[in-house]
Amino acid sequence: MRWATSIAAAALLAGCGNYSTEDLEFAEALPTRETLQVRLPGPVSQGAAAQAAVACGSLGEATGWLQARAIGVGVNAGLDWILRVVDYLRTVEPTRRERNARTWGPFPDEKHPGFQSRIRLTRTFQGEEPTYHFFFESLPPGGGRWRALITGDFVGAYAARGRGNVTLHFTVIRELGLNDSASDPTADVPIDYDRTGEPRTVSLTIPAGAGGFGLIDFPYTWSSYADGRGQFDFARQDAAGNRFVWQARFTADGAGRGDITIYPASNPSASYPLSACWDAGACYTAASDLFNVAQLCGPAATCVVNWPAGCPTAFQQ
Amino acid sequence: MSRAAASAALALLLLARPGAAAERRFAVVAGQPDGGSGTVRLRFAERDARRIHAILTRLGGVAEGDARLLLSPDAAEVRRALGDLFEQSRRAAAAGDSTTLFFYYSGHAKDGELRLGHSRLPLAELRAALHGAPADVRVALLDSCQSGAITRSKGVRRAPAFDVARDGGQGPRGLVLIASSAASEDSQESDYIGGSFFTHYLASGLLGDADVSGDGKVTLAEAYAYAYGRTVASTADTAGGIQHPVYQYDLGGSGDVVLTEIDPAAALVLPAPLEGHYVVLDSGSRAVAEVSKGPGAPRRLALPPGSYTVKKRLAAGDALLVGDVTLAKGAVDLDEGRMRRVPLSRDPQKGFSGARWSLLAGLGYQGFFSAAARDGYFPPAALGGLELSSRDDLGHGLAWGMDLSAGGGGSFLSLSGGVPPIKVQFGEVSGGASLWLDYPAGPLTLSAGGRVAFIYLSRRFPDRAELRSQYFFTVTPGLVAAAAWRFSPSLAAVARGRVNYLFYNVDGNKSLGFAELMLGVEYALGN
Repeated sequence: MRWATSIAAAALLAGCGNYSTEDLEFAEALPTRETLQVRLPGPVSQGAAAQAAVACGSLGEATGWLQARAIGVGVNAGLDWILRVVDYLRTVEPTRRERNARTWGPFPDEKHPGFQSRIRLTRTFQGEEPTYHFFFESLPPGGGRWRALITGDFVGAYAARGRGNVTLHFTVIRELGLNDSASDPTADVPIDYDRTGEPRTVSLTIPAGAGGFGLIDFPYTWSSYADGRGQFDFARQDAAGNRFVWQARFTADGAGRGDITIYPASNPSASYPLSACWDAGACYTAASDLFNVAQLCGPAATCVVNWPAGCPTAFQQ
Repeated sequence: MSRAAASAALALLLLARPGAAAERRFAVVAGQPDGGSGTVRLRFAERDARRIHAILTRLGGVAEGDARLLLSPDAAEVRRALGDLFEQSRRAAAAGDSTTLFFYYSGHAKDGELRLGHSRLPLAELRAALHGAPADVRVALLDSCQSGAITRSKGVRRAPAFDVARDGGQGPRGLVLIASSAASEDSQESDYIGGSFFTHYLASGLLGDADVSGDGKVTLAEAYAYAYGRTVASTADTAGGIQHPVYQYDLGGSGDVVLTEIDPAAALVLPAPLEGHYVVLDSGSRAVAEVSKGPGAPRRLALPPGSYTVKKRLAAGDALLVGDVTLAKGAVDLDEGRMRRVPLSRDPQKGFSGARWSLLAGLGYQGFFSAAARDGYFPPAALGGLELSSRDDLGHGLAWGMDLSAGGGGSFLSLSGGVPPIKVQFGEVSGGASLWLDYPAGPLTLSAGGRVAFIYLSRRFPDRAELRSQYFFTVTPGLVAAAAWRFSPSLAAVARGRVNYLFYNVDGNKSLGFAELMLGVEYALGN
């Protein structure tokens, strides 16, 4: 009993608690959902899209643009790995505090019995500017060495105005059998963000053949401007295997222009450019398809309609 | 002459009986704590006067209507009271009664004057008035600094006892002047005994402890000898120096003046076998009598009916015997076998006036010494708090208290690297225990001491829901200083400062000091 009293007295004298300003500094350096997630304007539901389709003119609805939202969801799914981790870090105080490091764990991995997890966030400085180094690691059953599942470097004291990168190490995740599903990527997925100026960008690269998140291999890049404009570079593939590479530019209300390159499955060495614009209701308002590969004009040799006058003013060039 | 020799001599005397047929006794009893500018307000002057008034009217043969108790009077009131009783004495004498007039004063005196508030009563005037007063015997008892100046004219003596004439014939006639200190000495009060030394021992003697002859009568000579010896002994180790009572005795006729008579049927009796030093406290824990008794003869204290606590310090010096006594009509023997033994550490000293409890409520401000700490960790805060304290419980002038305070503040936390300021709501709860010494100086009391507190700090970030709240608790040692201005018997305005040290180690060792300033009002409980 005496030793317990002594320990309690020593603890009181030394102080207890999580009252840490440096914890806040570490927290502010972590990217947030706001920082990373892709947000696309436009119809938010199928019902709204259907109504738009009914009201669209002869060029019809901008189906490719409507599919961009699904692509964005895939990108966000990839980002969700890191976002879940950083959200967790904001709710649980560190297990260990050091001058330039915080450690959470090790904790038992409840989804994967026998595994242990830990997160480390360290800090280095280049001049006054800090860089935070992130490690989400797993220790397999039976010991061995800690393996990094997610790593990242966050440059700047404030992630909302910083830049950085995160790498999802799916090769290690799959090696350890920690992948959520067979559809997870088969290669490491790098993510970069830069919010130091305009445009603010987030990119997620699916390496060739890696798949995952419902995405085909492509360096998906989302850019945004303070006035609500944005750009989303993405790729999709239809059931026939035709590959559509999009550079979609859009206004705050969702009107936009897509510059698309189509790579037909039948002839991988060929490509066909086309451009189209749409309004806030996701109806095509102009098209420039010299080979009418999209057949927006029906069975015609070429399809140039209302071009570029039908595009949002900002995107007529 | 030693006290024992004087007592032996006095035992041979024929004594005049107080309250005998055709004797009238008159008394003017005054207590004035305020001596005007340049003096410190006395704590016990009025209590001294009440004690002597009660003894004279209860045991000294002075009828209630023939006594004047003057509390905080000015010189004019004293003159009026004396003139009034002179007139009554003159009428009694004209009616054939023998008369005795007592004058008692507790208060300030300086430069040959009694200082009664902002008024003055020259000692020479008082002496002349008493000298010519129309009473057979005039007795003046002055308990004040330099009061011995009243005896300067002639025949003043600094001696433990005086001789009493044994001429036959009529009873005593003349003037006796007794002062608590010599003309160059200060008279001292004591918090321990809750009164001035001289009056305390004079009262104890009058209640019976001075009755060395054991005849149930306390004479002027016995009372003086008793008060002299005890006052000198008790002030031998005080900062004010030894205090020597003095007297001028100019009595003609025969015999001594009996001041009080102890009714053997209504007293607290210390039986013959008991010996030691006893202190008797009333129900208010104020000392009413002290008895130093040797074995061999019982000692009676003529206390009024009531409840009393009797304490006896044991020879081992580390404990007391404490017992409760209830007096009604009749004598009650003190039974040491029924007294309980308590450690001396729990005794509030002889004559202790009892623990004084008070409650302080106040508002204050708290700030940390480091600017970086204020900006990054602990913003300034407003605090409100309560403190319950006890004075003189652990020892003279020593006080302890338990406090609880809560408060908080708002600020913005600035982090480096362009992070937008984060709005912070700061909260604090603390509770502590303090121990301090009081240094009273009139209505102003200065205090200084130490404090140990438990402190709980928290902050939350209302505009940033994703940031979790933070807390910290620890123990903070510190120093405390205060100034209290007592503006009524129960209320005092208090300004208090604390300097504390916070052991902070979450972000490494950033321990630092902080200060609290508080203004409040203190309410004395039970007064």
